[in-house]
Amino acid sequence: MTTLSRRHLLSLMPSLALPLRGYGKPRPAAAEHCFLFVFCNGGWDPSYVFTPYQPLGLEPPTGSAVAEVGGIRFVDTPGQPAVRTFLEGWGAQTCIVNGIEVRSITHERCRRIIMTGTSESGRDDWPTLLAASARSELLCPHLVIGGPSFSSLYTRKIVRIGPAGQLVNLLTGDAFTMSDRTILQPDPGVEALGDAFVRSRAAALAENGGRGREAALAEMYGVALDDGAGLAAVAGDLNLSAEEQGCTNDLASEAAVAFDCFERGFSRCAIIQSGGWCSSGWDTHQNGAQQAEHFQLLFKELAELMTDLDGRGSATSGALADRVTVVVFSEMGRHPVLNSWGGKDHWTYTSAMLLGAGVAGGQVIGGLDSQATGLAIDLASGDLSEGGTDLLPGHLGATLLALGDHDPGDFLPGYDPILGALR
Amino acid sequence: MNLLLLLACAGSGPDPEPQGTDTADPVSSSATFMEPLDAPRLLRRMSIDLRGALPAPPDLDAVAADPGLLSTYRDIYLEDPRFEARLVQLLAERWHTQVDEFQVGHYDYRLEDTQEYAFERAVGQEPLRLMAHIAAHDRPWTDIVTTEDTMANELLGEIWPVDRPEGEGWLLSRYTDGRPGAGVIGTNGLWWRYVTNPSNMNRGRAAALTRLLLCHDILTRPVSFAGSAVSTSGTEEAIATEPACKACHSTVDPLAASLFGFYWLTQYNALEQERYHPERELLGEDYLGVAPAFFGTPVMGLSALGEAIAGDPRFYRCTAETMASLLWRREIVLEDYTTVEALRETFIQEGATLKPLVRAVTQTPEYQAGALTPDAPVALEQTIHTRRLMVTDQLASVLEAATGFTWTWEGFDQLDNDTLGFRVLGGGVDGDQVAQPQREPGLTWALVIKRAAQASAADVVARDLGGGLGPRVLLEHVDDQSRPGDSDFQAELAQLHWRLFAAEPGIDRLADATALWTDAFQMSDAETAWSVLLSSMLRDPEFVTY
Amino acid sequence: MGTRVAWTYGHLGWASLALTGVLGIACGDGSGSAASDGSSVTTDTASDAGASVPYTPEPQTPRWTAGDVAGELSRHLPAAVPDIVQLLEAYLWMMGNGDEECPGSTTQLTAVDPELGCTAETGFWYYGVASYVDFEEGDWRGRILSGDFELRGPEGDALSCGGHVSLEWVEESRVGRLLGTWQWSAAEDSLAEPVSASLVIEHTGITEDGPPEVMRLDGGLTTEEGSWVFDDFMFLEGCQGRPTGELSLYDPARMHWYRLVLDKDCSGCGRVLFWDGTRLGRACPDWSGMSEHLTDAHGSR
Repeated sequence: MTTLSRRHLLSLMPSLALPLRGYGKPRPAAAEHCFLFVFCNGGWDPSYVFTPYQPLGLEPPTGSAVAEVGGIRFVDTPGQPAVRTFLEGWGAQTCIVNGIEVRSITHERCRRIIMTGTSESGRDDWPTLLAASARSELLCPHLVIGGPSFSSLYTRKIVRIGPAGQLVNLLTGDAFTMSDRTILQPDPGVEALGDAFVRSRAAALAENGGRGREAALAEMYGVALDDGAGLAAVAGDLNLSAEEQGCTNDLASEAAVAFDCFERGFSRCAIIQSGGWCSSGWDTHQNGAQQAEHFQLLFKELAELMTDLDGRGSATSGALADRVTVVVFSEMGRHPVLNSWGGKDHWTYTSAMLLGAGVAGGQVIGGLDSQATGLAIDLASGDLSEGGTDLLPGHLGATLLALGDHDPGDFLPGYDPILGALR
Repeated sequence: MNLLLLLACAGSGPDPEPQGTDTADPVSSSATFMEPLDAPRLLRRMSIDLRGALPAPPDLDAVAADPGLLSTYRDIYLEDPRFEARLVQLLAERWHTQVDEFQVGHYDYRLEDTQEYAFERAVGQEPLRLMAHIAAHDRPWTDIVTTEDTMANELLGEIWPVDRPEGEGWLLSRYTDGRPGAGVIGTNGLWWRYVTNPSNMNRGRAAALTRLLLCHDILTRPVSFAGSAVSTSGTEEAIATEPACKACHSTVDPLAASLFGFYWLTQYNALEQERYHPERELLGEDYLGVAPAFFGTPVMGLSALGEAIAGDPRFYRCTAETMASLLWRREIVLEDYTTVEALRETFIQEGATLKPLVRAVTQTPEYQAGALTPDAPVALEQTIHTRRLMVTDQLASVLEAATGFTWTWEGFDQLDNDTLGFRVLGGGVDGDQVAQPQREPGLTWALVIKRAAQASAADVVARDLGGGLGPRVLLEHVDDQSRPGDSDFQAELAQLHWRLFAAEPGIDRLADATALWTDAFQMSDAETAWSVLLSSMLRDPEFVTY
Repeated sequence: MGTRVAWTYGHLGWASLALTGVLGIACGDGSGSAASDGSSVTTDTASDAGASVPYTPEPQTPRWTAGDVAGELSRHLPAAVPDIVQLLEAYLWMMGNGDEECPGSTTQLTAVDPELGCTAETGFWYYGVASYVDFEEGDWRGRILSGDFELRGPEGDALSCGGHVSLEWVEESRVGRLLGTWQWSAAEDSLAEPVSASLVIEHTGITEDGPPEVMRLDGGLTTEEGSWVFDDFMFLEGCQGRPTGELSLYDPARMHWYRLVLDKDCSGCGRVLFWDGTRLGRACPDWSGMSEHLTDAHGSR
């Protein structure tokens, strides 16, 4: 539920039937800690970057060697120099978390678990929870540009742009072209009359609805109408069209959309998806060596988007990079041993990268043992600790909630954040 | 004008009228805080829930005059042919089979891209259609897990090994590949949605079965692992020996062992996935090391599994819980226990067919609630949905029934898919990532409502005022020469309010609507004015909630 | 569309797959607990214990007698096991009728459009993915075909597969495997209709005349004629075409399994058990022709 009551404002300004937001104008940038989620769909192979297998005795990628840059021990694999370049530039802001046990190896279930902490269907994912907990009113609290999104209680906080650019089409009215029948778009002036009428109806019902949900739903409807109008006014400045990711992946461009929304105070969270090189997907049951191409592209794009992020902000609003955390993750890992097709099958242990604001960078937390299973850590320090805590997706979620300055216990009882990953 | 708009009442209609004898005796203590909807709006709610359509004005008139007729109308709605189709959509919110992608695609059957949507919906609806058919034809609800029937439309009849009679649409059919008669658990549509792999070995499917049919969600249990072994033997051994693992796996694995007729040795292959594999039924015991069983009772194959489910008390309670949740439009909470228990008893006493249960749910105070008493606890405002949001499948159905409008594009129903359409954006369930319909308005929901309303309103006006052949659908009194102040104009407005909102408008609301029409007319013409007025009414909070 | 991942099995056999990893099912802590958020009412089975239900499960009684089982086996089994070599030959023949563009290889099907396939100038249409290997490993030689594909010829011939077929041999032994679902339109045996199998066919002591010393079947098979599961089911030289081992048979009308445990003395007879272990008596199916069928069908390399 929104904390700012429009009903209260309505009662103070009875003569103002127009939207209370000045749509078309950026709102004052609320000091929200924002999150960009980069989802690598299909299950990446941490052995190519994050989890050195020497001296664990398991098969490393061909030609790879363990290296260290700025406190981050990683796998330097031929064909992916962008990883080293990235760590040299951004390693100080990077924390790698290894050994997160998803406890499943099916894509569908793992996606849900890594993002919500459970395979149960009635849970909202981390970006939705963060968006719903924002302190300020946001036009698009959680913007789904690409990638999975799981919601239950807070579905209304999510704004999906749609895989075929449906959101833009709805905003502009081009949705009418997506019809077998000819539908003419109303004249803007006439349409505005209708918009105002509906808004007034919502306001009236919100005021007079009595006990029960009628008034609450009407109020939320009014907010939704305002937000829709607000987004329509600025949609031209934001590239909200879904683009088919061909061999020229454009993760940085999608991230730029998210950063625009963060900067302008429209969103708190956004998610984009990496399909790897040529969008061929990270699910390399065959030709496992393609992971090197995927990571090469991913880290190149991460460097681009971090550069973009670094250059944003103003004297008044401050550097955007000071309040944006980038979370890079995949729903599962890959088996330590090659299969008969030269690839690797699914593995329940995965890794995640936290970049940017609030992150204690220059470190790797967790790891895999000689059996390629996760090592326990001390959550407070992030150090390996026999007898410590085995990392689960819930710990990742708790960490993000803590980063967002929320009490994880309010959402995830039983999971403490990895304090060692936080500044 | 703005002040006028603001000073206008919310227009909730007349005060709630006392109910007739339709409401069941309250069971829950919370019921004392619930005020029922007035009869016309309750009729509207039932009509949307049970038929996906608005009640006709004469029916609203009848119940307004005599609320005791509500029960009569309810029974009529339960016998309406549209009840079956509505059940399909309701059950889809729980069974989650109407996904936009399966491991086998339309191209695997060399269907055109314009048939993609038809293919996906046909597959996903198979188990839903079967359940809906059983309900609509007053068959024992246990048939959903015991019948040898399935349902197939023309497309499924062509591509799958089913024996389907001649005829249009969804018809009772039988598989010809030797698969057991086990209702929905013998359907391709269910298992194409709930897939498995060589590591999981049907365990996920077993968990889905218990959740869907027994409301026994194994996956909500907390997990306690003390370090996992990477080798096969370690994991398999742990399942059989570790108490923490056995607590679930002693139930799950024998259930999973009974599902091996659907165990595919190759994923993503049509030939593998469209057929049942009887010879693999015995693999379950080999792979999992346990014999097929249902909570300790040995079962041989799917048929026996279906029989065991039908004989389990939880099946009946789960049915009651599920229908209550679907019709109350919210999750069941602890406070609902006594009411759900009463519904379960009614379900069994009435012969365990679905209609009496649906009837009973619609008689509960929780279903009929339209407001809370002033002294109601604040927490009830969250848990009792006195007002429900219309989401895409309901909107599509109601609009089609009221206006004849459907939104299709290149073979896709635009309000029923997410590939090209607006299903999830409009608050619907995609069965994959969105597991519940949206309960509260959001930005994209409002946008979908807006565009659908605009499109259907334009369609109505073109038809009703366009002078073409055929009966009018919505605008019955006016023509393009009608103007504010004319009797037909006033009558049309009043009837529109009554038909769309089940509420008689006050003078102020009529004035507001007239003012909107006038403003639009001054900017354009009569047809445009009617279009914008009608679309605004179709976006009105009183229309898009119920 | 999703990745076209062919979950097929190499010549190592599906039994040796790396079946590792977590099973995706949460285990309880043994103490029993309600849903963690407390928002759902999960029925505790104890509360429903004893509650009456309006349904009595049908007892699972056998429809067949031992004699019926014998009759079913005699009628439907002897010619049921398909000739798997024809699948390998059909594949190579069809792949050999393509061109450089489509499918671009005479053995590997990898580069065609994943949704449309491709049509060669010859009119042959290729769809899916497949891998064919001729191999040598020590003394063993073999032919392995795995895939998820459909091939069609201009005259209507069609080879469909979701699985694996292989033939391996060394000296006088041969092992054939058929996994998944297969159909070959030009087949004159059970493969003319879809055949579902997880079957291993072994021949040991192959001679130029007469049957091998041992012919063994393990695994499952479903054809239009029925469904069977073989467990160490063998024809031994000297048993005059009467098998030993165990064999299960499916009754599709009741979805029941019956097991025939054959005598070790090559009588070709054995005791019949219902799936729950109930003894139904003895049966002596007519095995005529089965061992010849198996010998002839798999006699070529």
